[in-house]
Amino acid sequence: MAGRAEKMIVLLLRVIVGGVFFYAGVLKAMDPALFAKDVDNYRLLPIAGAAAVALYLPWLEIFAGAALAMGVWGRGASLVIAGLLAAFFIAIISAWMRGLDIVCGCFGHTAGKSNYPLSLLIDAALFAALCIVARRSQ
Amino acid sequence: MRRSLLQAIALVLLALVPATLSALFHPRRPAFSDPVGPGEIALAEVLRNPGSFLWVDARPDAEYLKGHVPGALRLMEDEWDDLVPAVLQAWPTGKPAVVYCSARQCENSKAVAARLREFNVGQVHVLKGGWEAWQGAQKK
Repeated sequence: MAGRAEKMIVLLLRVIVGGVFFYAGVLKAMDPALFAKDVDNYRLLPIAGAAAVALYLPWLEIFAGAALAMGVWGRGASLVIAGLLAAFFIAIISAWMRGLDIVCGCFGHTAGKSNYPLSLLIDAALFAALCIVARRSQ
Repeated sequence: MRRSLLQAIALVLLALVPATLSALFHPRRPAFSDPVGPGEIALAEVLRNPGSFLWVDARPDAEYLKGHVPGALRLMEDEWDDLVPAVLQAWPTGKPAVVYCSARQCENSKAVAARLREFNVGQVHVLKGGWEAWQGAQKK
């Protein structure tokens, strides 16, 4: 019974984390020009780099998110998402330390100005959920 | 672990396909270069004769004090009423003005330039790349 409950929790976490990435990717893929502006605002990349990230990152999120949610290539998807979360963590910390007053761009351009502690908290929560999923995945 | 890595690599490569298609065909695809926009002026053009412009610094006081374009006057929207008289006093009719803020991404210079244009004293440009571009040129 406990094993079944554990499986259900892991399944739920898998769908939530994968779903969040899939959803965030779709929002960004719909308007890459706007997302490129959000990436550019972090002032970490030249304009061509920001454009490349804005075109590529949403699709990586969509593929990895869908794979994790559906349980196809789950371990690989977990690895990709862990890498993305680490990259987001660094970008957010870096923007916060430089005092940039920018739109996060985490879920496309829909969110308002960055709330850095909240963004980091969401990042950490997703990472914790991902660790549980990865440990329990076959 | 090897299988996880192979799966991750496959996902990374798979995402390249729609990303490439987006780069080619998406109606809202981003630009890979940053052309001089309307109302903007390139630093190279300004540097041909920097003395022929009135320089306006649209950055916060602390940044201005750290360094600014020689002769630049500070003007920000937040302190408009306090700062604009000095700018108008120093601005001869017909002299073009160049407004800059910290970097390519900041919007303060555009807002200040828009308000300065309303006075019809002279042409008002926004420096493309802002203070960052100016500093970069000084280092060369």
